[in-house]
Amino acid sequence: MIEDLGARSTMGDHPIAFQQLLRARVDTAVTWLLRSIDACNGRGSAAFYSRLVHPTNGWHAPYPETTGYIIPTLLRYAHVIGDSQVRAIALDQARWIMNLQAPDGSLPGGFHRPGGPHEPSVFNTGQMILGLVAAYDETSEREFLEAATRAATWLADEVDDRAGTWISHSYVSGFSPAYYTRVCWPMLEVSERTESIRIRQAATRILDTIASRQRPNGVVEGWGFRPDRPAFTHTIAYTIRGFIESARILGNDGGHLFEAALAAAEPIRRRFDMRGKLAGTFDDDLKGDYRYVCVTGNCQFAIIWLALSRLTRDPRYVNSALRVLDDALGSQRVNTLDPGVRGAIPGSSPRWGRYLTMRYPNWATKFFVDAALLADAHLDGITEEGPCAWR
Amino acid sequence: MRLALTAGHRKSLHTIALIEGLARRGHQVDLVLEMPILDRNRLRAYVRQWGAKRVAAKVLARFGPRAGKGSAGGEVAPLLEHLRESSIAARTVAEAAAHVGARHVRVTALDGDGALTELRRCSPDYLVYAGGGILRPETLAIPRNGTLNAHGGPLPAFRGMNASEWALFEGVAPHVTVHLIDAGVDTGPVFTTRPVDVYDTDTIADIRGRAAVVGVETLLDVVDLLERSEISATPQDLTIGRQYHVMTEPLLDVLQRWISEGRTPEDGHLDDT
Repeated sequence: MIEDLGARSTMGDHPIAFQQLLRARVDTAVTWLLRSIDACNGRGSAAFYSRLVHPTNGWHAPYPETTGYIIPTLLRYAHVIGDSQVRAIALDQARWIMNLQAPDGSLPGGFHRPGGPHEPSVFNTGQMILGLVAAYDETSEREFLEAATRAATWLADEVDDRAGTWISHSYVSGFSPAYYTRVCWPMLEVSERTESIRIRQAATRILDTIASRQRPNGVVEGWGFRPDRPAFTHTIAYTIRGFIESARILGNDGGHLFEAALAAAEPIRRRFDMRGKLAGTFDDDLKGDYRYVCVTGNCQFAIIWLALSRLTRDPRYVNSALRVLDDALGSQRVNTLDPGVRGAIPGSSPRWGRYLTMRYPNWATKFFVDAALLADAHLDGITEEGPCAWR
Repeated sequence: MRLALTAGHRKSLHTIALIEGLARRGHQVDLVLEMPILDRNRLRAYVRQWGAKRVAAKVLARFGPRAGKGSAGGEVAPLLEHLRESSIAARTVAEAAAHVGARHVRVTALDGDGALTELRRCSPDYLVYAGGGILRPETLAIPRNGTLNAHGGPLPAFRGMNASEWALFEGVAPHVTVHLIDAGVDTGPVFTTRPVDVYDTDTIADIRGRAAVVGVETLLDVVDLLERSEISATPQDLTIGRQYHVMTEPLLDVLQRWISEGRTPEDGHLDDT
């Protein structure tokens, strides 16, 4: 899926210095991700590492949602490096997720507690579909696609007809966040492979509902975790990425979604360029909180800006992406003896920032790896194409 | 014609070249406003734009024990050669100002009370901008006919920072543009645009240095033409072009590789479509 943003699948032979650094850091980050899976005995990736929360061993319980979207990350890395062991571990996670699926097709929210109740979650189901689809693309094994289809069908069934989006099974009761665009994207991935018109129609309807909530300043109402608080760049990026990937799949029918993504991403890029720093949160007037950086969101924005650089032929997006990724590199701990920290990306920088305070969430490292692999591939492509490719 | 100049720091080579060049061409330089390089607000702005590591490296390259040597030396070398060829002996802005009989004043901000008072007292026809930070509307309002700037890229296509690098990056020959400064970023009316040569043996610093010399020469020529009322500025078409920020190191590395491989536009060819 990430490959569709314009990345190549192999590493170039003549990397510039920054690419060499990225490659070394990606290896360290993936090793940490594998450690997070080891910590759960190979059944899911631990949600985060924190000696503050877990003084004895640091690792939290496995998180099915993020394990789901770590699968395509590991598969892509396995391809780039040619590592069959990483590939096998990624596919094991997809099988583990299939075991969590309820008969109605839904997948669970929250952290995994063996024997705990199954609480279906719209958002988490969407993220796990990404892993199932990636496993299907990798192996062509029908069981992965069938599980993804059951999950996407459950999502289509759960749409509230009157609201044109999901109301139940949400993170905050009764609140339908804009980052549900990132649920529509996996639904469209399924519909693309199964030609299910019903799933596609449900996804496009929700995308249109969310796009209609965009303000003239680019903000999409409700793109944070809660309606009454400023949004972390993490959920803002979720929203924008959902628009971009959905627009890619919908092709000519998704032009307005691409425009919505651009309208949301551009003012944030301008603010980043002016300040030299991405705020941790933005309010609805795009006023940022610059006391800390949401490193997870930084990595996600690197992916978004790299994608937009290709789609708009505007190199300023690459520039911003590389700069924000460089900031994330600065927060990766590589010279520490603590294996729970070595290679990991913190939720916030400084670590006592408001997003995942004093924790190393697996999704921060996941998005870092995605962004770094994509940046590496973009730099290869740019170097090869030459200067005139931008005009 | 009464002229005032700004200077970004006490050893600003292009300010020295401009002061001496204007005087040799018979223009009266009345006032030179010099900013300190280690001003806190400017340093903060630079750190925002470039990042702390690059600011430290730039300061060391310009003022450290190996100043003018190594890769950063390329940026300074063309201006040093220009000063040598022009037999300009002044090594500081203050020396150049004294040499041409201009009043030299150190100020803490170009929009501060001290600078505004000096400028009002001088009442120049033109202020020639040669560094020192952002100019606010209060400052821009003082010179009778406006403030001149040599922008290191082709306008209106490439506004903002590292414009020569961005032009090359997008396959456009680098140019220097002399224009009037207005409230926007490089959006003021344009007098003229001149190409900057690029060779495949160049470093990016070489090109920046060559652009600085072209900027000095073009500014001097524009002032000559203004004195004779033989040039006027044309408003830019602001519907085209983009504003750029500092180019990151990885893209500079890619650009350097292209230059070394000869993958640059033909000299003098300006494609601003």
